[in-house]
Amino acid sequence: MLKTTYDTFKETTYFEVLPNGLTVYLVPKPGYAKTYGMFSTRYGSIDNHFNVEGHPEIKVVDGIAHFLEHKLFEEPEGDVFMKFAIQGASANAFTSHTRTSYLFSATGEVDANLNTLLDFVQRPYLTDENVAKEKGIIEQEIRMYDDQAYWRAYRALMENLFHVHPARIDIAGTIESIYKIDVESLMTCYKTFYHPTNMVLVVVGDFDPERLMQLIRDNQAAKNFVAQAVIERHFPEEPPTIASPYSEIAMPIAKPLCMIGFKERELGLTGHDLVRRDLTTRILMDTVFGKSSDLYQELDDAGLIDPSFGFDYESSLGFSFAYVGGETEAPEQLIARLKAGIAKAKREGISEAAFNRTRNRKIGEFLRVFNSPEHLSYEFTSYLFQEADLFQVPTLMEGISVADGMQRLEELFDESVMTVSLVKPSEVKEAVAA
Amino acid sequence: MKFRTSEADGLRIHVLPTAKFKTTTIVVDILSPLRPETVTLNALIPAVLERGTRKTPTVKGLQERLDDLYGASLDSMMFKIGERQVAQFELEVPNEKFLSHAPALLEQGIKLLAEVLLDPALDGEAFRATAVELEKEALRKRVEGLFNNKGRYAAIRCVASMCADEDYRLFSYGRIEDLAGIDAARLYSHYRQWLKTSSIDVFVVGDVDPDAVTAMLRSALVIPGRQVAELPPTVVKATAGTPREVVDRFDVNQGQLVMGFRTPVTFASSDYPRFTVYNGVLGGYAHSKLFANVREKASLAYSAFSRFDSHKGLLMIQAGINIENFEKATAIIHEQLEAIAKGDVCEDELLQTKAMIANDYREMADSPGQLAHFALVQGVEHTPRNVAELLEAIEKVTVEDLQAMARKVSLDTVYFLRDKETVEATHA
Repeated sequence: MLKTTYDTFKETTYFEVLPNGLTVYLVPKPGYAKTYGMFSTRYGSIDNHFNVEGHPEIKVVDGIAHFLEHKLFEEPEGDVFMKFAIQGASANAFTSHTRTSYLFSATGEVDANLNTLLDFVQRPYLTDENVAKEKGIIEQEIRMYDDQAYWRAYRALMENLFHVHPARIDIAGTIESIYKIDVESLMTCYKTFYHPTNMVLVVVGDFDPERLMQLIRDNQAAKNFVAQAVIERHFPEEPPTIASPYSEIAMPIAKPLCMIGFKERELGLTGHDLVRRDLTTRILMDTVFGKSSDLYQELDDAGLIDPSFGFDYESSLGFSFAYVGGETEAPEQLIARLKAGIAKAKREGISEAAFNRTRNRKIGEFLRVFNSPEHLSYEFTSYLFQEADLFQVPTLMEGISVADGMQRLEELFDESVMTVSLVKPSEVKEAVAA
Repeated sequence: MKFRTSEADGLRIHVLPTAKFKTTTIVVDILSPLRPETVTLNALIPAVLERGTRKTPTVKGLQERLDDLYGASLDSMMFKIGERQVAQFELEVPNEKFLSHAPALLEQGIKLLAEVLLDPALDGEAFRATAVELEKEALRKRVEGLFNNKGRYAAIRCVASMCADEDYRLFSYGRIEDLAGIDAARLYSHYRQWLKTSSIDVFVVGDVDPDAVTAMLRSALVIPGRQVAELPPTVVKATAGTPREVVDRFDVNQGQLVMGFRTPVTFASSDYPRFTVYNGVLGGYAHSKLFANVREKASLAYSAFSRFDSHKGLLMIQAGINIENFEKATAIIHEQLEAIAKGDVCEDELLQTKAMIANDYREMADSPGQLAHFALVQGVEHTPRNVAELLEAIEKVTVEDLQAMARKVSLDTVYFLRDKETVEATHA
């Protein structure tokens, strides 16, 4: 077990790779009531075409990673929620484009809960009946999101940005695709991606790390995993261009929702290079679009934005993009002003003082991650999956200059890779007033 | 973990020193009665205050000052505790001991917070008209924008129609119809009254010296002429009349079913721990009857849960379902209610629910915001409840107690947000 101490943050991590290949990180948080365990696999919705080295390639239907996430909660004895509940733990899971994570949060019975987490994820129980039953539940999940304007706008944005990359496909798949999923295809994906070599366990809480690591070692030693070669993931050749510059959807909402996206063209970055680019882009976007920017002030004064206005950068191995937007009565004006604001920043440059101020704020905000075991587990795992170290973030940020920001502005915020996703109200407002 | 409280001029300061967190959180809760005459005025105040102070009259300028405090954040929100409207300001400041070059941040943060609250940018004896007009427009959009999230919209619509004759119907961010009558001068004079008469609680959670931080707050938050008005109790209707059905039709993919029930139980009732368990067994968790039966067994929904508003005595059940499954879903929900009434609750369900509730209460200790909220609620409801005693009471709850709780629940309103199809609906 490798112990690392971070003096600045007064935090310590314990790390070990178990004989079966599972990576484990323990982060003790003395004084905390809750222990939070997160068990994750590098497997998300985009991993739909793959093979294990030496074996034939497999292509699966959309939504299978998410479907599997639902199904692992089922045990021969019933729902694993029941077991967690009796141990006083709340459990959950989520699937993203690139990962699936299972988690529990508990203020007692940490050993039992941790064993339950490891066991249920590592013991699939799939039958024709229980797979069929899940389809109705996931159908309702898809329908629920289909009625949410933000999700629809975001989905359309992804479709506009990507020609063929599977990031353009809904994480949950479609109602049509999920009805094609069967036990066999689920098991194929399970065996490939839920191998310990492809997974990470992070536990945060007030515990004795030596003792907890022993419990994890014992749990894993009692299970048999056949050694597995490297997983090869296949992605279609994604052109650097955007698939479509504009899309429009009508649905029953109160006012238009407009998102503007920019597609990253350089896709080869990994590890600290990827993280550094991510952090630079975030500081830049905050400087250009954030509350302390001239542009924000201008949009706000013109009544073109409201508290829903926001921006984000999503950075993954293989696909990255930035987006800006929110609800607005005048999407055309908002788009025009955002474009003009970006052009002005490129032309006149960004103030070094403003950029450094934003950067210092981001460094301060970073401390908040350590207040929350769930947030810490989530971020820590994300960084690991990008082959990077969360604790390096402040140091990396301190080394980012306004020149780096300007370079990002030129590279990413280019109209040739810009797309607009608009969701418009389909019904008259009179029907709306609450 | 217990807050140390000091009170002067109806302004209470509660401090919880703890080395657990790397930031210091300061929550200011300003409480006034939830009334149609003032709901919109109150809601506009925090928004206008956040537009700038006398010294720093722009949003941009304020944000720059926060940025200079290394990631300090200042946010406001409105919510209600029964029929009291709460304006909440939250300041979070990093603790400088974890930063390499940062100056002392807490005192500067407190001064900035006080400046925003007490020293706004003015135009004579009025707020600035542009700031007020922008925030009136933002409020209008916020109320209209509720419709963009169908689940939330359905929940709000159901409560609004249930409580059509009660102040509780009011949305904590106000009403569109009031906006036309509000101008910068009227809002400013209301603000002065609001500061003078509202009940104010300040909570501090972090690695702080309680005496020093209390002194900082006392000297920063000086409000002359305080005459705090007593907050009226919330009206609780113990039982419903004949159940009503309300249907809204829009072009949606999924139906949103909300069932609203009346109960006489509130945070202050001796039944509170028993009812907390009742709600947990029914639909508070992923092991609960609603989730297990509506979702897992019948596969009718992705989300199916119940929620208890202990300040108004309302129990709400909600599920997102296919439109044609309305009868099926409501029938299964009624079966779950009847099951508890008949005592059909197994030992495991009871143990699971108690363990989950205990976990929820213990987890509060890790969240500055939740600690502050729990302390606030106790004061507002004049009911001190410590977690250990609550857990002890919850531990004692029996199946018979749950049956007794089931008798206290009566259906008030069934709300259904459904599709626009012209096919005649049997329950419309």
